[in-house]
Amino acid sequence: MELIAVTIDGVTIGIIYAFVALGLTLIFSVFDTINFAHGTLYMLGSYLTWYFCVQKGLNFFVSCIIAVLILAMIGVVMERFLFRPLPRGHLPGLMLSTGVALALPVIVLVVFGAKEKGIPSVFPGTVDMLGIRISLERLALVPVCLVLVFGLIAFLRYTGVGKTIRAVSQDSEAAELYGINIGYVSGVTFAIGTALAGLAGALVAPLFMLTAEMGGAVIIKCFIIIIVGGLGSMAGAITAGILIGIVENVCTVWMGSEIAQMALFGCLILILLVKPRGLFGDT
Amino acid sequence: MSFVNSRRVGVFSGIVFLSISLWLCASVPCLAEEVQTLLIGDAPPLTGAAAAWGIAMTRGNDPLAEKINNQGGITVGGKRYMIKIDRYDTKGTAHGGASAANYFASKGIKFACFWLSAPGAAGQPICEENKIVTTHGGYTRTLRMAKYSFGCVQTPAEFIHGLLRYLGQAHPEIKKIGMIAANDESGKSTDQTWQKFAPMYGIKYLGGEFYPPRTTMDYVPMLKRLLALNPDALTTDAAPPAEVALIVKQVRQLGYKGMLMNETQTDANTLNDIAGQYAEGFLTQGDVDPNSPVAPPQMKQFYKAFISKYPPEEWKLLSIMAWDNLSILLQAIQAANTLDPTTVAELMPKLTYDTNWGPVKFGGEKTYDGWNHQLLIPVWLTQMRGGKSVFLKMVGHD
Repeated sequence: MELIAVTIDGVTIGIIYAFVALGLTLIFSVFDTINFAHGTLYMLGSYLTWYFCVQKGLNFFVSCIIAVLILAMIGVVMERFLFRPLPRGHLPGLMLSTGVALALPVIVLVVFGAKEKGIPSVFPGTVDMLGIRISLERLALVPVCLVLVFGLIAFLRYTGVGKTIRAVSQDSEAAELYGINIGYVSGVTFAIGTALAGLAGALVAPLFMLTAEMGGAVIIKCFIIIIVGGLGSMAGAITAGILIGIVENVCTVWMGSEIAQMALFGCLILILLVKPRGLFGDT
Repeated sequence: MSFVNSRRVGVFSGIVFLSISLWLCASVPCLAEEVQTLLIGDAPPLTGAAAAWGIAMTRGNDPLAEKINNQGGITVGGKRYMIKIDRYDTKGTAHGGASAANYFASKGIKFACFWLSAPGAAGQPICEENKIVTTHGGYTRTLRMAKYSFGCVQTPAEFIHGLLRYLGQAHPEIKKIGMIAANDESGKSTDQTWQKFAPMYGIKYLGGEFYPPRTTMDYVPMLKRLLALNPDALTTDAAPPAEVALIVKQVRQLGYKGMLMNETQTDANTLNDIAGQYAEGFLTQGDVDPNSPVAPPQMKQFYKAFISKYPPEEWKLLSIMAWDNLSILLQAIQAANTLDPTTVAELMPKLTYDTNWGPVKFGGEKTYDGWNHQLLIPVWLTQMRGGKSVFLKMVGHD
């Protein structure tokens, strides 16, 4: 019974990791570069939600939507004015996003103040199921995230814009030859990627506390997830996110947090040895 | 003609010479009165995961320096000094602490405030070698065994006795206590303190559960490990205020009904913001509401100064600590009437200081094997009730 409880806890956290990693892998699939600023965009999503919910007194869900829209706009601006002018290749984007990742927390500290923030519980209370006690807030995240993840998958698979994103991610030159506007697709992809990071940040805001540095820990886990899942793979990001959440929780409960951290990196090394391109990566 | 000119030149030169001499004579006393600058090193974390604390610290010592300078500075050895804080961002790391100490030494700074255990411990050998008198805002015991170092933050070693005596009287049902703490210098040192002192009061210490510091947001797995041991009370020692609040929220959401406490100062603002209703009954020390009648007058004054400059919701006990740590250094310098660090360091344990908590002294010989550089602030036990921090009792040191 305890194993089930710990696994459910792991799934709730893992699905959040997966959500952030999805945005990261989506941007990677089109830009061929790792956006190091992704964790700080997650943080920004939390802060904006806090601002509208606590400071402006708006409903939590309305605040989430506003935060996500702002993040999507930030994504468009970042893509158009920061990433698009850069020369192609991994390194320029990597360096630029590292700079953004370092600068954004400082800007947030200046704008929102130094004190850590919190959002009151949206679903207070716990649920008792078969002797297992789980916070309602965490449990509510699972269906919300699942709906959003499947919605994203459906968007990418069945809509015109989604199909162009997939086409560009597979072969941008061929897509351009077919008349796809690469600039437009890049902008949309970046907007979706940053919106996903912002949404994840918004959803966890009532669960955790908000600090300007909260993105740092998440981005490390996202890197592990996209490497384990396979760079650029949506299914890989979701599977690996949930897997990492479960491994982390189970290992912490049975072996302590120090061992759990080692186990995460152990997973990464093992996957790299057995399947160097990740669980769902192209062979 | 040339004679006349020479004469005129001679007269002119004489006048100029006389004027310069008069000016020099007149300005000698001015030079003696010239206000000089006393540089005080400050090593808080201003960026990185601990930046929020560092910023709160600057909001303590900046207003004090400003207040002193507005009053004309301090007089030492017949000279007037304006206070200038020379700040070095340690990022909360050991590497940053060592760099800060080297920076202070290279600038000839002789008095400094260090914050957090790891930067303080890394900077300490350099400060000691360069005779820099340092007030430390870190927990670790290694900071507490040196000549020029002064422990200015209360650690569990200082207030555990008072707390355990209080629990024995008010909550005799508490027999088993577990701890959740950051996996760092402070957490490990607090764990040792509990191991050493809890049995003296008939309490079984169940051990500590340690989490990766400054990055952990999900404490549930660690808490589950602790709760499996059925503790009567849980302490969140060595965790900073926001982490404490999040732990409180998550452990209550797991259904834990026992006592929750923390002896390392947290604040009602943070508890309310992050833990909300789950903070009810939380026992802590030092979280005195500056607006309450029991608050010391100095604290009330500082709070007034604080809210005139910063938003009231940003009020943190760390700012009080920062004000006091700088104030103690300056009071000692003035009492010693010299800037010689050795003389000041030798005098410091003998003085009584005016702080936000009222008059306090250094001590700690019993706890730290003869080292008496630990500031002993009375332990103000408080409890969260109805969203407010309510003063319970003042307990003394061992």
